[in-house]
Amino acid sequence: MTYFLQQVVDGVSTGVIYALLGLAMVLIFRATGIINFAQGELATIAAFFAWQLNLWGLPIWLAIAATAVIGFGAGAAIERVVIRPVANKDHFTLIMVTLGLFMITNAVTGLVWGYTIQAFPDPFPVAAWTVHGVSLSLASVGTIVIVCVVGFLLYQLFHRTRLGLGMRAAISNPESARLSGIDVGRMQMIGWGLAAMVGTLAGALAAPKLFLEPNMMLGVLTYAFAAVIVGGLDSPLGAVVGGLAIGVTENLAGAYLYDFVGNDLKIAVPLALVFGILLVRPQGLFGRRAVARA
Amino acid sequence: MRISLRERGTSVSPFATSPLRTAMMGVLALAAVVLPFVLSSFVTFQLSMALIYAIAALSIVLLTGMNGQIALGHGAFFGLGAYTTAILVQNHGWHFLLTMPVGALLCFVLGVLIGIPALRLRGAYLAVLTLSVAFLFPLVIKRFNDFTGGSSGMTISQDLLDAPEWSGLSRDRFHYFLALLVLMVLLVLTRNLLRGRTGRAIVGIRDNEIAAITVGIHLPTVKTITFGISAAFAGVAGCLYTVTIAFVSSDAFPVQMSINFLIGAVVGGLYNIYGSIIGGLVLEFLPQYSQSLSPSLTAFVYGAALIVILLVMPGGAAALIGKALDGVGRLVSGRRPGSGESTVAVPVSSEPISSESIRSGDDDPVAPAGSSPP
Amino acid sequence: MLAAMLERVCRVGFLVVDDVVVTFGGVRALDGASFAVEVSQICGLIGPNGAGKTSLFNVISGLYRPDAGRVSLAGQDILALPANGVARAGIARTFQNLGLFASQSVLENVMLGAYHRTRAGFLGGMLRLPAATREGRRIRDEALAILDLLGLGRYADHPAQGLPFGTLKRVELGRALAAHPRLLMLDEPANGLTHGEVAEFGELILQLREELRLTVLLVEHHMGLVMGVSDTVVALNFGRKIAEGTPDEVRQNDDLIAAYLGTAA
Ligand SMILES: Nc1ncnc2c1ncn2[C@@H]1O[C@H](COP(=O)(O)OP(=O)(O)OP(=O)(O)O)[C@@H](O)[C@H]1O
Ligand SMILES: [Mg+2]
Repeated sequence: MTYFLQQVVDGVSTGVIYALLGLAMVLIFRATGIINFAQGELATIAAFFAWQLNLWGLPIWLAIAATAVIGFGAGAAIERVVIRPVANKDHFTLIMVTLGLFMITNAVTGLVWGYTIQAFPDPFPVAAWTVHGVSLSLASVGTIVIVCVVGFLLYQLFHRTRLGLGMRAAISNPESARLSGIDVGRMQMIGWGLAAMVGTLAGALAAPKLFLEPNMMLGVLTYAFAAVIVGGLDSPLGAVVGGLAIGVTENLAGAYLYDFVGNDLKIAVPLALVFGILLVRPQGLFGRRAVARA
Repeated sequence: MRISLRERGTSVSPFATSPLRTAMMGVLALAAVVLPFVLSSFVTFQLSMALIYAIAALSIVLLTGMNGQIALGHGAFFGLGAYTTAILVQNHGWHFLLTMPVGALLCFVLGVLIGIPALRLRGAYLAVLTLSVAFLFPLVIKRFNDFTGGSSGMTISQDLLDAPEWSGLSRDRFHYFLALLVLMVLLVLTRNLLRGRTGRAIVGIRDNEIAAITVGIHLPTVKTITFGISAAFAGVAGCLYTVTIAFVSSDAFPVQMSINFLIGAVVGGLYNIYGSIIGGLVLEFLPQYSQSLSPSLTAFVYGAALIVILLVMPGGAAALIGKALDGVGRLVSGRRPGSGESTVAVPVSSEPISSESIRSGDDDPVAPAGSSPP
Repeated sequence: MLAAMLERVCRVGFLVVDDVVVTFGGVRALDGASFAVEVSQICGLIGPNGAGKTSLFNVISGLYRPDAGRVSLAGQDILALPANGVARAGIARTFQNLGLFASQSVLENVMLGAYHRTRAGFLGGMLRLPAATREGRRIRDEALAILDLLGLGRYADHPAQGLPFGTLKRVELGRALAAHPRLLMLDEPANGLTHGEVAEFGELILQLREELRLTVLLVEHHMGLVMGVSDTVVALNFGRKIAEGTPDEVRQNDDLIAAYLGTAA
């Protein structure tokens, strides 16, 4: 039982990273209706940036905060320069453009910082508690708290603020939103900017575990996708629950199905599960069903 | 019908030819045959790789360009084909030519199997599903490393890949002509397919699913079989890859490979099957040059090219060449414009314009009602 | 068997729409609509915007699953068919806002109309098997003939985009005719036509009915056209039938006038 609980706890602490990146995706989806394939790479480059600032002498938390602020600007700029011109194109073009962004960001990261693995300083002091034989590190608890706070804030943003409600209107009907005086463009820029901030957190919190290198978020990206798909693309709660579920499933699969899946394939278990769920409930567990419209 | 049937001479084929096009094809064909005899064996090898990537790009053109199903996981089919040949030749002593149908069949089956869940997914969801397949493939290879050699790989003895006696060709030249032949055959098969009833259905589904259903097209069948055929093409390309390179390892088929195939198809021209040839050349030769400058440059150029092409020239290089040829043709013969249009029309927008059709919301991955029988 | 079926068809009608209910959330797009159309009759379907006319088309063509009700054609239960099986049952339609294959040529669009009565599959197409090639040529000739009939011959090679709306509506009609339907459903076919063209179009519908023995369900806001060509007219409002009869009878109907004036509840 202790072993099981330990696995669950460990799963949760990886899952929160997926959740965090998933939250960034939900933000972009709510703001612009786009699934952003570049989200992981943007998080990676942000992590590198924070690492660089830290190297130059900034305390790590300050470095992360500064990166988040700069990230906001960068995200907004990307929306303005790359996304806006294709905003009303079809799905395929949008996906391909974010894929292009993915490749460019990845390349720039490699160009600037190279491909040697770097150690990212842990923002949390090393400490752990043991409760009933289950050990719990300060880093895990801290990350979980951060994710919950971010998730809560986003939920508030979407449901309580003019901006969030405007986003909803802009996605479901950009034309009438524009007519009713909502500045759709500004909102989308803010959406991308906020997503970049959340992504910065995801990158900075993932980096100590994954080691910093340009491709570090590829796996996380796949999982974060899976998380938002299970949770529903438009639901912050869904992204968090989805991310945690995936982290836990992955860990349990590694622990209990090891003989069958091995270390390499434990990754496949949550993905298989996700697509199973998707077939039964295509809108995700928490997503709203879009009304078919003729 | 009492309506009279009258013969008409016009051709509506999107593959209509003009003298200029025929001439260009002739020159290209001649070059394709002569080149391996004048170039070094290394360049011949590179050209073989370009042909192989062209086949992979063709598989994407068929599935994504013509049928509208986004394909981000074809590296997995490519890899499956590659391992089929590697294992059958190295461990079971098969002749490599015989492994190709097996690779194609395996990939067809796997393609159909993945095509079935893909039926219910659209747009970004489908992209994520196929991306996951690409992501998982190397892991599966590693998991079964007793069988596949895992990440340390598997080398195929060169003598097992020698050109057959009767061909009288060196190994490199034989591999080159094999890849060329396979590409030509697949191009002809695809062209035939697209010209006929099923091809109209394949493109019709991309253009307007609702209308496709109302004319009686069974979407699940057409989409899954198209997926299967596309996967089989990628698989055959993979078989040829092993034949040419004589080495496979789990690291040879990363996620980037799948993305690159899609990029190659877009750059060459997603809506023209011949664009895949250009796509293959780009995929083989661009990295050769950019890599020498900086290891990240390739990805950068790919990413930038992708965005620029989609914004400026969604039909890719093929559309550009088509336009140029038409321009020259007009200058030469003074014929009316557009008479030699060879590109399949680029979709105006992937959504059907009609508010009439049942459109799924952006966040709705499900195919519209009625696309699968109740 | 055949006699019984024929009798049934004659008694209750060729197309029977029975108590069909379609809801979208709180909206009742169709609320128990019932009527029947006889063989080779032209039935005009009218009603103000949002009355449920297009929804009814979508039900008959299998795109909407109704919450309740029955639809049959010549005694065959249409609602039991998958949406892509409706064409084979003999039903073809046009769309209010066009449902063409925009990237394909006008000719290819019309040829696609014949999809359900042709066979060539993947192998036949790839290998150009003789049967597939022959069938393709036959369908192509038929499609060209249809285009000529509709005066669209010179657009055969033109992509089905970038032509005037009225022309594209005719292309859609051509595609529907290529299906060799028994029931032809036209959703606002005169939309986008000039005054003179409307009259011409009326003639065309009558001629098609005559020559092909088509049963026609015609949704149209152009009252002159509906009243001119229809044998019977059904009026819907808020998803319910509010009037039915010959054009003359319906014209007198107070409910209908009220509905159009917007005073009906
Ligand atoms: N897919 C759908 N989702 C939600 N509501 C719908 C849908 N289809 C139709 N409706 C609603 O059902 C009602 C009937 O619509 P319908 O399109 O059938 O009307 P109509 O008679 O064709 O109108 P018009 O003359 O404007 O074409 C309307 O209130 C419409 O908004
Ligand atoms: Mg309507």
